[in-house]
Amino acid sequence: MKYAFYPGCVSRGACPELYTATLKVCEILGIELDESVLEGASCTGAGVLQEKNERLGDTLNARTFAMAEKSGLPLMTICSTCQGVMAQANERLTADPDYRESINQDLKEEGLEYKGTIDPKHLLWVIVEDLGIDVLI
Amino acid sequence: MEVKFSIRRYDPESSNAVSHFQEYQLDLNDSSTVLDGLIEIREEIDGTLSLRCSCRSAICGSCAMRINGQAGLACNTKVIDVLPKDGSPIIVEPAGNLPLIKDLIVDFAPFWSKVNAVDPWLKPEGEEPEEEYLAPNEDMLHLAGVMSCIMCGACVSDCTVLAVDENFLGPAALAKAYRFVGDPRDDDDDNRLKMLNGNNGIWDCTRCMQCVEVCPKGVDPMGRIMALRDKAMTAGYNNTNGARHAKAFSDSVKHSGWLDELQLPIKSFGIFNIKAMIGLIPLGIRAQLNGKRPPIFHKSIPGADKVRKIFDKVENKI
Repeated sequence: MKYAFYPGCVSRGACPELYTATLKVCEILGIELDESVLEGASCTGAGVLQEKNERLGDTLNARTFAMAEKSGLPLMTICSTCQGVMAQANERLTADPDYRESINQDLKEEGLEYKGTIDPKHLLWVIVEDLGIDVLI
Repeated sequence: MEVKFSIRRYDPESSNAVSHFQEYQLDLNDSSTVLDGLIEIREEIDGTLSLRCSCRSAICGSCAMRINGQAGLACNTKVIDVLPKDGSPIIVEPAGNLPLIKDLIVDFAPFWSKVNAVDPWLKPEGEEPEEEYLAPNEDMLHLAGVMSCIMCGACVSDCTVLAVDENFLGPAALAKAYRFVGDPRDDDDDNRLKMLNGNNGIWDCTRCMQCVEVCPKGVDPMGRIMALRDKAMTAGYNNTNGARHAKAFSDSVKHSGWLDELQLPIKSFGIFNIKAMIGLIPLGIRAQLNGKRPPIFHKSIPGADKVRKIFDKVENKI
Protein backbone atom coordinates (compact mmCIF):
# COMPACT_ATOMS: atom_id res chain seq x y z
CA MET A 1 0.00 0.00 0.00
CA LYS A 2 1.25 3.46 -0.88
CA TYR A 3 0.22 6.64 0.92
CA ALA A 4 0.65 10.37 0.53
CA PHE A 5 2.46 10.97 3.81
CA TYR A 6 1.68 14.03 5.93
CA PRO A 7 4.15 14.02 8.83
CA GLY A 8 2.93 17.27 10.45
CA CYS A 9 4.96 19.99 12.16
CA VAL A 10 5.66 18.25 15.46
CA SER A 11 7.29 15.14 14.02
CA ARG A 12 9.70 17.47 12.25
CA GLY A 13 10.23 19.55 15.39
CA ALA A 14 9.96 18.56 19.05
CA CYS A 15 9.00 14.94 18.40
CA PRO A 16 11.53 13.67 15.85
CA GLU A 17 11.31 10.13 17.25
CA LEU A 18 7.77 9.92 15.86
CA TYR A 19 9.06 10.53 12.36
CA THR A 20 11.97 8.07 12.44
CA ALA A 21 9.87 5.39 14.17
CA THR A 22 7.15 5.78 11.52
CA LEU A 23 9.62 5.24 8.70
CA LYS A 24 10.96 2.10 10.37
CA VAL A 25 7.55 0.65 11.22
CA CYS A 26 6.20 1.36 7.74
CA GLU A 27 9.20 -0.28 6.13
CA ILE A 28 8.62 -3.47 8.10
CA LEU A 29 4.87 -3.46 7.43
CA GLY A 30 5.32 -2.78 3.72
CA ILE A 31 3.61 0.63 3.85
CA GLU A 32 5.11 2.81 1.14
CA LEU A 33 5.26 6.51 2.01
CA ASP A 34 5.38 9.29 -0.57
CA GLU A 35 6.25 12.54 1.18
CA SER A 36 6.97 14.48 -1.98
CA VAL A 37 3.35 14.91 -3.10
CA LEU A 38 2.55 16.83 0.09
CA GLU A 39 5.85 18.69 0.22
CA GLY A 40 4.11 22.04 -0.21
CA ALA A 41 1.26 21.23 2.19
CA SER A 42 0.83 23.62 5.10
CA CYS A 43 0.14 23.03 8.78
CA THR A 44 -3.46 21.89 9.51
CA GLY A 45 -3.91 24.82 11.87
CA ALA A 46 -4.01 22.38 14.80
CA GLY A 47 -7.33 23.81 15.96
CA VAL A 48 -5.49 27.00 16.99
CA LEU A 49 -5.88 28.70 13.64
CA GLN A 50 -9.50 27.56 13.71
CA GLU A 51 -10.00 29.51 16.96
CA LYS A 52 -9.33 32.64 14.96
CA ASN A 53 -10.79 31.67 11.63
CA GLU A 54 -12.34 28.28 10.91
CA ARG A 55 -12.73 28.97 7.22
CA LEU A 56 -9.03 29.70 6.90
CA GLY A 57 -8.21 26.33 8.48
CA ASP A 58 -10.65 24.56 6.18
CA THR A 59 -9.09 26.24 3.14
CA LEU A 60 -5.58 25.15 4.11
CA ASN A 61 -6.74 21.58 4.73
CA ALA A 62 -8.76 21.49 1.50
CA ARG A 63 -5.54 22.53 -0.24
CA THR A 64 -3.67 19.58 1.30
CA PHE A 65 -6.52 17.19 0.45
CA ALA A 66 -6.53 18.47 -3.14
CA MET A 67 -2.79 17.77 -3.41
CA ALA A 68 -3.29 14.20 -2.16
CA GLU A 69 -6.29 13.74 -4.45
CA LYS A 70 -4.23 14.88 -7.42
CA SER A 71 -1.59 12.26 -6.63
CA GLY A 72 -4.25 9.54 -6.50
CA LEU A 73 -2.87 8.33 -3.16
CA PRO A 74 -4.72 7.99 0.15
CA LEU A 75 -3.56 10.44 2.82
CA MET A 76 -1.79 9.24 5.96
CA THR A 77 -1.05 11.24 9.12
CA ILE A 78 0.96 10.32 12.22
CA CYS A 79 -0.06 13.11 14.59
CA SER A 80 -3.28 12.90 16.60
CA THR A 81 -3.85 16.66 16.36
CA CYS A 82 -3.41 16.69 12.57
CA GLN A 83 -5.73 13.68 12.38
CA GLY A 84 -8.46 15.27 14.48
CA VAL A 85 -8.27 18.64 12.80
CA MET A 86 -8.18 17.17 9.29
CA ALA A 87 -11.11 14.88 10.03
CA GLN A 88 -13.19 17.80 11.31
CA ALA A 89 -12.31 19.94 8.29
CA ASN A 90 -13.09 17.06 5.95
CA GLU A 91 -16.44 16.51 7.64
CA ARG A 92 -17.43 20.11 6.84
CA LEU A 93 -15.97 19.98 3.33
CA THR A 94 -17.67 16.74 2.32
CA ALA A 95 -21.01 17.32 4.06
CA ASP A 96 -21.70 20.55 2.21
CA PRO A 97 -20.74 20.67 -1.51
CA ASP A 98 -21.62 24.37 -1.68
CA TYR A 99 -19.20 25.16 1.13
CA ARG A 100 -16.49 23.05 -0.56
CA GLU A 101 -17.14 24.85 -3.82
CA SER A 102 -16.73 28.26 -2.17
CA ILE A 103 -13.48 27.09 -0.54
CA ASN A 104 -12.28 25.77 -3.91
CA GLN A 105 -12.62 29.27 -5.33
CA ASP A 106 -9.64 30.29 -3.20
CA LEU A 107 -7.59 27.30 -4.40
CA LYS A 108 -8.22 27.99 -8.10
CA GLU A 109 -5.24 30.29 -8.51
CA GLU A 110 -2.94 27.38 -7.64
CA GLY A 111 -4.78 25.07 -10.02
CA LEU A 112 -6.08 22.97 -7.15
CA GLU A 113 -9.58 21.69 -6.51
CA TYR A 114 -10.78 19.40 -3.74
CA LYS A 115 -13.43 16.97 -4.97
CA GLY A 116 -14.14 15.50 -1.55
CA THR A 117 -12.67 12.00 -1.99
CA ILE A 118 -9.95 12.02 0.68
CA ASP A 119 -10.28 10.17 3.98
CA PRO A 120 -7.36 11.31 6.13
CA LYS A 121 -6.11 8.32 8.09
CA HIS A 122 -3.71 8.05 10.99
CA LEU A 123 -1.05 5.34 10.75
CA LEU A 124 -2.82 3.41 13.52
CA TRP A 125 -6.04 3.42 11.49
CA VAL A 126 -4.10 2.37 8.39
CA ILE A 127 -2.78 -0.59 10.36
CA VAL A 128 -6.20 -1.55 11.73
CA GLU A 129 -8.43 -0.76 8.74
CA ASP A 130 -6.29 -1.12 5.64
CA LEU A 131 -3.73 -3.75 6.60
CA GLY A 132 -5.66 -5.60 9.28
CA ILE A 133 -4.42 -5.67 12.83
CA ASP A 134 -3.16 -9.24 12.34
CA VAL A 135 -0.08 -7.85 10.58
CA LEU A 136 1.20 -6.97 14.06
CA ILE A 137 1.12 -10.58 15.24
CA MET B 1 -29.75 -12.31 27.18
CA GLU B 2 -27.43 -12.86 30.10
CA VAL B 3 -25.69 -9.66 31.13
CA LYS B 4 -23.07 -9.03 33.78
CA PHE B 5 -22.69 -5.63 35.39
CA SER B 6 -19.67 -4.60 37.41
CA ILE B 7 -20.73 -1.56 39.43
CA ARG B 8 -18.52 0.70 41.46
CA ARG B 9 -19.95 0.80 44.97
CA TYR B 10 -19.22 3.21 47.77
CA ASP B 11 -21.12 3.76 50.99
CA PRO B 12 -19.70 6.46 53.27
CA GLU B 13 -21.77 5.13 56.18
CA SER B 14 -20.53 1.58 55.90
CA SER B 15 -18.04 0.35 58.47
CA ASN B 16 -15.75 -0.42 55.55
CA ALA B 17 -16.21 2.69 53.42
CA VAL B 18 -13.98 1.80 50.49
CA SER B 19 -14.80 2.15 46.84
CA HIS B 20 -15.02 -1.29 45.23
CA PHE B 21 -16.62 -3.12 42.32
CA GLN B 22 -19.56 -5.46 42.78
CA GLU B 23 -20.79 -7.84 40.09
CA TYR B 24 -24.40 -8.61 39.27
CA GLN B 25 -25.80 -11.00 36.69
CA LEU B 26 -29.24 -10.60 35.18
CA ASP B 27 -31.38 -11.47 32.20
CA LEU B 28 -32.28 -8.55 29.94
CA ASN B 29 -33.91 -7.97 26.54
CA ASP B 30 -32.14 -6.83 23.41
CA SER B 31 -33.93 -3.50 23.79
CA SER B 32 -32.96 -2.97 27.46
CA THR B 33 -30.99 0.10 28.43
CA VAL B 34 -28.23 0.23 31.01
CA LEU B 35 -30.69 2.09 33.24
CA ASP B 36 -33.22 -0.76 32.88
CA GLY B 37 -30.48 -3.06 34.11
CA LEU B 38 -29.56 -0.84 37.06
CA ILE B 39 -33.20 -0.42 38.10
CA GLU B 40 -33.73 -4.18 37.90
CA ILE B 41 -30.69 -4.72 40.11
CA ARG B 42 -32.01 -2.21 42.63
CA GLU B 43 -35.58 -3.56 42.60
CA GLU B 44 -34.88 -7.29 42.37
CA ILE B 45 -31.35 -8.07 43.52
CA ASP B 46 -29.84 -5.42 45.77
CA GLY B 47 -31.93 -2.62 47.21
CA THR B 48 -28.87 -0.87 48.59
CA LEU B 49 -27.69 0.29 45.14
CA SER B 50 -28.05 4.06 44.87
CA LEU B 51 -28.46 5.94 41.62
CA ARG B 52 -30.25 9.02 40.28
CA CYS B 53 -32.76 8.68 37.50
CA SER B 54 -36.11 10.05 36.54
CA CYS B 55 -37.45 10.46 33.00
CA ARG B 56 -35.84 7.44 31.25
CA SER B 57 -36.08 9.48 28.05
CA ALA B 58 -32.80 11.39 27.93
CA ILE B 59 -34.43 14.66 28.86
CA CYS B 60 -34.08 15.10 32.62
CA GLY B 61 -30.30 14.67 32.71
CA SER B 62 -30.26 12.71 35.99
CA CYS B 63 -28.54 9.47 35.03
CA ALA B 64 -25.19 10.54 33.57
CA MET B 65 -22.52 8.08 34.66
CA ARG B 66 -19.49 6.31 33.27
CA ILE B 67 -20.29 3.22 31.27
CA ASN B 68 -17.22 1.22 30.26
CA GLY B 69 -15.12 4.23 31.17
CA GLN B 70 -17.01 6.81 29.13
CA ALA B 71 -19.68 9.21 30.39
CA GLY B 72 -23.19 8.92 29.04
CA LEU B 73 -26.82 8.70 30.04
CA ALA B 74 -27.69 5.23 31.35
CA CYS B 75 -31.20 5.68 29.92
CA ASN B 76 -30.17 6.17 26.31
CA THR B 77 -27.37 3.63 26.28
CA LYS B 78 -28.56 0.23 25.12
CA VAL B 79 -27.01 -2.75 26.88
CA ILE B 80 -26.46 -4.52 23.56
CA ASP B 81 -24.28 -1.62 22.35
CA VAL B 82 -21.93 -1.65 25.34
CA LEU B 83 -21.87 -5.36 26.18
CA PRO B 84 -18.31 -6.60 25.72
CA LYS B 85 -18.15 -9.45 23.20
CA ASP B 86 -15.78 -11.48 25.34
CA GLY B 87 -18.37 -12.07 28.05
CA SER B 88 -16.83 -9.62 30.50
CA PRO B 89 -19.17 -7.34 32.46
CA ILE B 90 -20.39 -3.84 31.57
CA ILE B 91 -18.51 -1.53 33.91
CA VAL B 92 -20.66 1.17 35.51
CA GLU B 93 -19.12 3.95 37.58
CA PRO B 94 -20.27 7.31 38.90
CA ALA B 95 -19.61 10.45 36.83
CA GLY B 96 -16.09 11.76 37.24
CA ASN B 97 -14.74 15.16 38.30
CA LEU B 98 -17.49 15.66 40.88
CA PRO B 99 -17.39 14.64 44.57
CA LEU B 100 -18.76 11.17 45.18
CA ILE B 101 -21.72 10.88 47.58
CA LYS B 102 -22.73 7.24 47.34
CA ASP B 103 -22.49 4.50 44.68
CA LEU B 104 -23.47 6.16 41.38
CA ILE B 105 -24.50 9.47 42.94
CA VAL B 106 -22.21 12.48 42.76
CA ASP B 107 -22.52 15.94 44.28
CA PHE B 108 -23.57 18.47 41.63
CA ALA B 109 -22.84 21.53 43.81
CA PRO B 110 -19.58 22.42 41.96
CA PHE B 111 -21.38 21.93 38.65
CA TRP B 112 -24.14 24.40 39.57
CA SER B 113 -21.79 26.95 41.10
CA LYS B 114 -19.85 27.09 37.82
CA VAL B 115 -23.01 27.40 35.74
CA ASN B 116 -24.11 30.20 38.08
CA ALA B 117 -20.73 31.89 37.70
CA VAL B 118 -21.43 32.68 34.03
CA ASP B 119 -24.66 34.56 34.91
CA PRO B 120 -26.90 32.19 32.97
CA TRP B 121 -29.70 34.63 32.33
CA LEU B 122 -30.51 37.17 29.65
CA LYS B 123 -29.27 40.70 30.31
CA PRO B 124 -30.90 42.98 27.79
CA GLU B 125 -30.38 46.73 27.90
CA GLY B 126 -32.71 49.54 27.03
CA GLU B 127 -36.40 49.79 27.56
CA GLU B 128 -38.37 46.64 28.12
CA PRO B 129 -40.52 45.79 25.08
CA GLU B 130 -44.26 45.76 25.58
CA GLU B 131 -44.46 42.16 24.55
CA GLU B 132 -41.67 39.59 24.23
CA TYR B 133 -38.14 40.30 23.02
CA LEU B 134 -38.00 39.50 19.32
CA ALA B 135 -35.05 37.87 17.60
CA PRO B 136 -34.69 36.83 13.96
CA ASN B 137 -34.90 33.08 13.47
CA GLU B 138 -31.54 32.86 11.70
CA ASP B 139 -29.83 34.58 14.63
CA MET B 140 -31.17 31.96 17.02
CA LEU B 141 -30.60 28.80 14.95
CA HIS B 142 -26.93 28.48 15.94
CA LEU B 143 -28.05 28.39 19.56
CA ALA B 144 -30.48 25.51 19.07
CA GLY B 145 -27.75 22.94 19.72
CA VAL B 146 -26.47 24.61 22.86
CA MET B 147 -29.99 25.15 24.19
CA SER B 148 -30.47 21.38 24.01
CA CYS B 149 -28.18 21.01 27.03
CA ILE B 150 -29.94 19.05 29.76
CA MET B 151 -27.25 19.73 32.39
CA CYS B 152 -26.49 16.05 32.83
CA GLY B 153 -22.81 16.66 33.53
CA ALA B 154 -21.49 14.02 31.10
CA CYS B 155 -19.08 16.57 29.61
CA VAL B 156 -17.89 17.66 33.05
CA SER B 157 -17.43 14.04 34.08
CA ASP B 158 -14.99 13.31 31.28
CA CYS B 159 -13.33 16.74 30.88
CA THR B 160 -9.58 16.10 30.83
CA VAL B 161 -8.80 19.61 32.12
CA LEU B 162 -11.10 19.31 35.15
CA ALA B 163 -9.31 16.06 35.94
CA VAL B 164 -6.18 18.09 36.70
CA ASP B 165 -7.64 21.51 37.57
CA GLU B 166 -10.90 21.58 39.51
CA ASN B 167 -11.12 25.37 39.15
CA PHE B 168 -11.68 25.27 35.39
CA LEU B 169 -15.19 26.53 34.62
CA GLY B 170 -15.64 23.46 32.46
CA PRO B 171 -17.50 22.56 29.28
CA ALA B 172 -21.09 22.78 30.56
CA ALA B 173 -20.76 26.25 32.10
CA LEU B 174 -18.81 27.60 29.11
CA ALA B 175 -21.35 26.21 26.64
CA LYS B 176 -24.01 27.94 28.73
CA ALA B 177 -21.99 31.16 28.60
CA TYR B 178 -21.91 30.93 24.80
CA ARG B 179 -25.67 30.51 24.81
CA PHE B 180 -25.93 34.09 26.17
CA VAL B 181 -22.97 35.68 24.40
CA GLY B 182 -24.40 34.38 21.12
CA ASP B 183 -27.94 35.53 21.90
CA PRO B 184 -28.84 38.67 19.90
CA ARG B 185 -31.13 39.84 22.73
CA ASP B 186 -28.31 39.92 25.29
CA ASP B 187 -26.40 43.17 25.70
CA ASP B 188 -23.77 42.17 28.23
CA ASP B 189 -21.30 40.47 25.84
CA ASP B 190 -18.40 42.70 26.77
CA ASN B 191 -18.55 41.94 30.51
CA ARG B 192 -19.25 38.30 29.84
CA LEU B 193 -16.24 37.94 27.50
CA LYS B 194 -14.03 39.81 29.95
CA MET B 195 -14.90 37.32 32.68
CA LEU B 196 -14.60 34.28 30.39
CA ASN B 197 -11.24 35.54 29.15
CA GLY B 198 -9.91 35.47 32.73
CA ASN B 199 -8.43 32.70 34.84
CA ASN B 200 -10.14 29.29 34.68
CA GLY B 201 -12.07 30.41 31.62
CA ILE B 202 -12.09 29.76 27.88
CA TRP B 203 -8.31 29.53 27.49
CA ASP B 204 -7.94 26.55 29.80
CA CYS B 205 -9.59 24.12 27.39
CA THR B 206 -7.06 21.83 25.68
CA ARG B 207 -9.43 20.96 22.81
CA CYS B 208 -9.28 17.22 23.53
CA MET B 209 -12.85 16.82 22.19
CA GLN B 210 -13.87 14.49 24.99
CA CYS B 211 -16.88 16.68 25.89
CA VAL B 212 -18.06 16.61 22.27
CA GLU B 213 -17.75 12.83 22.21
CA VAL B 214 -19.72 12.15 25.37
CA CYS B 215 -22.45 14.81 25.14
CA PRO B 216 -25.74 12.95 24.64
CA LYS B 217 -27.41 16.03 23.16
CA GLY B 218 -25.03 17.32 20.49
CA VAL B 219 -24.26 20.51 22.42
CA ASP B 220 -20.64 20.59 21.16
CA PRO B 221 -19.21 22.36 24.24
CA MET B 222 -15.67 22.49 22.81
CA GLY B 223 -16.94 24.13 19.62
CA ARG B 224 -18.68 26.77 21.76
CA ILE B 225 -15.50 27.40 23.73
CA MET B 226 -13.61 27.93 20.45
CA ALA B 227 -16.34 30.31 19.28
CA LEU B 228 -16.01 32.23 22.56
CA ARG B 229 -12.22 32.51 22.02
CA ASP B 230 -12.87 33.95 18.58
CA LYS B 231 -15.39 36.41 20.01
CA ALA B 232 -13.07 37.40 22.86
CA MET B 233 -10.15 38.08 20.50
CA THR B 234 -12.42 39.96 18.08
CA ALA B 235 -13.65 42.05 21.01
CA GLY B 236 -10.03 43.03 21.68
CA TYR B 237 -9.20 40.75 24.60
CA ASN B 238 -5.76 39.82 23.33
CA ASN B 239 -3.70 40.03 26.50
CA THR B 240 -3.73 36.34 27.41
CA ASN B 241 -1.28 33.52 26.78
CA GLY B 242 -4.06 31.86 24.80
CA ALA B 243 -4.70 34.82 22.50
CA ARG B 244 -0.96 35.37 21.99
CA HIS B 245 -0.56 31.65 21.32
CA ALA B 246 -3.27 31.78 18.65
CA LYS B 247 -1.66 34.83 17.05
CA ALA B 248 1.89 33.42 17.17
CA PHE B 249 0.65 30.14 15.70
CA SER B 250 -1.24 31.88 12.94
CA ASP B 251 1.71 34.19 12.11
CA SER B 252 4.07 31.23 11.93
CA VAL B 253 1.85 29.29 9.52
CA LYS B 254 1.20 32.41 7.50
CA HIS B 255 4.86 33.20 7.02
CA SER B 256 6.46 29.77 6.72
CA GLY B 257 3.58 27.39 6.02
CA TRP B 258 4.15 25.43 9.21
CA LEU B 259 4.63 25.75 12.93
CA ASP B 260 7.78 27.21 14.46
CA GLU B 261 7.68 25.31 17.75
CA LEU B 262 10.70 27.12 19.14
CA GLN B 263 9.10 30.55 18.86
CA LEU B 264 5.62 29.48 19.94
CA PRO B 265 6.11 29.34 23.74
CA ILE B 266 8.25 32.49 23.70
CA LYS B 267 5.64 34.47 21.82
CA SER B 268 2.75 32.96 23.79
CA PHE B 269 4.15 33.98 27.16
CA GLY B 270 5.66 37.17 25.73
CA ILE B 271 9.43 37.69 25.46
CA PHE B 272 9.34 40.36 28.20
CA ASN B 273 7.69 37.98 30.62
CA ILE B 274 11.01 37.31 32.33
CA LYS B 275 9.60 34.88 34.88
CA ALA B 276 8.04 32.71 32.17
CA MET B 277 11.17 32.93 30.02
CA ILE B 278 13.32 31.72 32.91
CA GLY B 279 10.73 29.00 33.51
CA LEU B 280 11.24 27.80 29.95
CA ILE B 281 14.98 27.31 30.39
CA PRO B 282 14.83 23.87 32.07
CA LEU B 283 12.41 22.71 29.39
CA GLY B 284 14.80 23.98 26.70
CA ILE B 285 17.73 22.18 28.31
CA ARG B 286 15.78 18.93 28.63
CA ALA B 287 14.66 19.19 25.00
CA GLN B 288 18.24 19.83 23.88
CA LEU B 289 19.64 16.91 25.89
CA ASN B 290 17.00 14.53 24.58
CA GLY B 291 17.31 15.48 20.92
CA LYS B 292 13.90 17.12 20.99
CA ARG B 293 14.81 20.74 20.34
CA PRO B 294 12.93 22.08 17.31
CA PRO B 295 15.17 23.51 14.55
CA ILE B 296 16.69 26.90 15.50
CA PHE B 297 16.46 28.11 11.91
CA HIS B 298 12.86 27.60 10.93
CA LYS B 299 12.79 26.94 7.19
CA SER B 300 9.69 27.71 5.16
CA ILE B 301 7.90 24.91 3.33
CA PRO B 302 8.20 24.92 -0.47
CA GLY B 303 5.65 27.36 -1.86
CA ALA B 304 5.05 29.11 1.46
CA ASP B 305 4.10 32.21 -0.54
CA LYS B 306 1.05 30.32 -1.80
CA VAL B 307 -0.04 29.66 1.79
CA ARG B 308 0.43 33.36 2.55
CA LYS B 309 -1.78 34.24 -0.41
CA ILE B 310 -4.55 32.03 0.99
CA PHE B 311 -4.24 33.79 4.33
CA ASP B 312 -4.57 37.15 2.62
CA LYS B 313 -7.60 36.02 0.65
CA VAL B 314 -9.47 34.31 3.48
CA GLU B 315 -8.53 36.62 6.35
CA ASN B 316 -10.13 39.52 4.51
CA LYS B 317 -13.43 37.68 4.27
CA ILE B 318 -15.89 38.09 7.08
